[in-house]
Amino acid sequence: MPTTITLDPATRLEGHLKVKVQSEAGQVVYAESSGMMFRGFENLLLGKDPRDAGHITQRICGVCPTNHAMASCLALEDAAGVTVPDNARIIRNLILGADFIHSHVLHFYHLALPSYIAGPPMPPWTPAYEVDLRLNAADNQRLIDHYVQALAIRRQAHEMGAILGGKLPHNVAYEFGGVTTVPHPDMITRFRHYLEAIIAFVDNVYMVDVDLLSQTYPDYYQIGRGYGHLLAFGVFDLNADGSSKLLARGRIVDGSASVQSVDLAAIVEQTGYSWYDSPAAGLNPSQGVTQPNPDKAAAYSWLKAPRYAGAPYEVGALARLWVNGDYRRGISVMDRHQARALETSKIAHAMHDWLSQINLAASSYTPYQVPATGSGIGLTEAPRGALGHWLRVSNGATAAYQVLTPTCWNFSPRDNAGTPGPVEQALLGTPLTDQAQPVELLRVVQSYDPCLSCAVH
Amino acid sequence: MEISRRDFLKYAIASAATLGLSGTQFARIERIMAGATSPPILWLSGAACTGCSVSLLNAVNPTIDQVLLNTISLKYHSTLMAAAGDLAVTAARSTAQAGGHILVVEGAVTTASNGRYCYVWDENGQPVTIAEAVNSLAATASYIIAVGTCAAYGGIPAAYPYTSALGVGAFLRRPVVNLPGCPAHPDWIIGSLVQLLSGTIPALDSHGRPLVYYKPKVIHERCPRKEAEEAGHFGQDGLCLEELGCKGPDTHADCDLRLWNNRQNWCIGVNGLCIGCTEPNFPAFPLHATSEEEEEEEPVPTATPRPTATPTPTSTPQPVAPSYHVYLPYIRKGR
Repeated sequence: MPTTITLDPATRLEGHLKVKVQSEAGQVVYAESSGMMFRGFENLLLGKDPRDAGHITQRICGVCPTNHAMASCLALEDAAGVTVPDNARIIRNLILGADFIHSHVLHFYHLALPSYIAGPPMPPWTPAYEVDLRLNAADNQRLIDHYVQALAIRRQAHEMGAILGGKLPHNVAYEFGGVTTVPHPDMITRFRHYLEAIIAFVDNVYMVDVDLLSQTYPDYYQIGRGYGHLLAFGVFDLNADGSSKLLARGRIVDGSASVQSVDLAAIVEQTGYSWYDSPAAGLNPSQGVTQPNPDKAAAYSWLKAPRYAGAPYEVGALARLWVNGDYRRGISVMDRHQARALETSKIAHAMHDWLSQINLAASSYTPYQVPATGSGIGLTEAPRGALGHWLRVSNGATAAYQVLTPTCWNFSPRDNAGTPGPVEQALLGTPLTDQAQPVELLRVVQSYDPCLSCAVH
Repeated sequence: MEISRRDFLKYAIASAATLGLSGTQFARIERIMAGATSPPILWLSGAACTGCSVSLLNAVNPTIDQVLLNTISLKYHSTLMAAAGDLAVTAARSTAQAGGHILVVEGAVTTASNGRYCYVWDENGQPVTIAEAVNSLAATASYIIAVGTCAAYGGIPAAYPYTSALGVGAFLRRPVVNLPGCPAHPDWIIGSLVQLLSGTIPALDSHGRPLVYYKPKVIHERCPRKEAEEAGHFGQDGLCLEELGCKGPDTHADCDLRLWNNRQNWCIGVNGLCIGCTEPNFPAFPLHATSEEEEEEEPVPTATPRPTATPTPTSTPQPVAPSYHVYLPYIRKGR
């Protein structure tokens, strides 16, 4: 007879996540993940100036706002058929890179790590689950010290980004046509100064700590695999048309080494188990609608269920590095942490090069007219995975806006066919040592770096 | 890591000017700190983006580790706390039962459809809405702080009327300290917390905002670009952005003085728009000016409250304030 465990709130993640599982013989045999909040960003943008969406959609998420500004600007620039100057592309990449570093460092040290160590003996680190704590006292203390050090590094990543973005979270520099910032030599000097200290931390502390954790918890290379389907839209354009990216676009089927192309027409969002009504069984985001219905009986989540050619896909740092060929050790809880650390280093080092590519004599912004009609798609990556904004403009105003976020992929509820979402699948088989202290559920869930306010928006 | 309370106080006194606090207030804090336990804080998230929590982590003077280790006892914060599930809910409930805590709310309170647009946790097999949680945790709180524009006035969630999202003061019909901003500046949060811990209530403006941070004079009055030529488009240094839609002329924050992210920059510093994120009418569309002609025809957006549904809290609190944008002087509730 299975027993039901409800983990709500699932904590040390962004937003309102509920996880409900059934366990039998010490293992998870059934799982549901639910997003428990809805605001209505897509609908409130209708009828507004399309340029306003870049500022508004950043507010979907305060942990990963910059990628929404990026997707929004790219969508409108796609609709207008314009390309931003190289300086704008580089400065956008630098602000987004700073946000990636902040997010990845926050995720490992301040969100995920407390599920493996005993924190300082006071709130917010007590009370805590006290099962399966394997680190010796010296290593535990070292990781606590690094938790505190990482608070400063994360903050400094935001300070670095604010030099070019005005402030973080929620920068103001991203605008349709480029960035508002006019770069000066002292900005680049300050940025580089921050970046070098961050790179030293990432390479000498973060990467080492992830190794320590994975050596102490090697069984987590076998836990939380899921379907093994991986999707990346790609990010950090290295040339004007985006044909070259630091992290490429691509798709992986069941952990294969072969990278498939991404056909956007194959994406649909279904709402059979979501608190929405829909005029069709599944809609491509270009035709998507958001009709909330909190009374829908069969539903259990405010997330829609995105599917690619009918299949659930995992997105995130591991998907990006797998597609890019940078990391293909495996798909699991610990592989996600490893990939995220490796990616932080890769991005930080690339940013060092991008700083040198800013042309102080060139413009960072080109004025363009907002198109009277048109449609556009902005694809990029949030720290936690593939992000897309689909926009339609009519009479110079936003006529349709759909946002497809990474956590919507990862934490989707069942689709119309009853197929579980990626995390619902990955939770199956997870061992539980103490049902009253289900730390293993937290570890699996947190390895995806969930951002529920993005997922529901 | 090992920072004593005394170290923290020295640090805090050094940053008193930054936080807009007097030495006397810190002397009061010192007496409180001499007590055995740190004051408990319950931080609830409603229809939120967690941006204000991230902004809090960006605090510099003092830094967040000093605040968490030495100043406050953060009993509930779903993004930072170690506990999850029932263990986390019990921590919140037992703190509220003891009373005397500060309740901080980030995000709006959704009230339509019996609050089903936002659940915060599961209790005894039943989902609990942000509306129910705010109601019950506020009942025994010493102070209530609404952090960010969503919690203060409804903000972006209230711009989509379907969920009937309200600010905390409007929802509870009770005066609260409002710290709007999208996000709120970390100094505004920590400075106000420290002042409340010292037992004094900040002087508030008519929108419930501490006057020390939300100045009677708008940003534009002090803006270093006030006398500069008007920018015709973005990407130009040093020009006034008013014709592009800058809301500095309507915005009562001290961003121009305080700057952001350890004083690295501010919105107008990168030639970006002030979008008026600390104002009760945020987001006041359009954020971008459409064209020069239309700008002249259209009146400057004023602080008109957006249409919101009548608040429908699950248990009806005593009506104190006649409407949500009117704030009574703050009265401390006894324990």
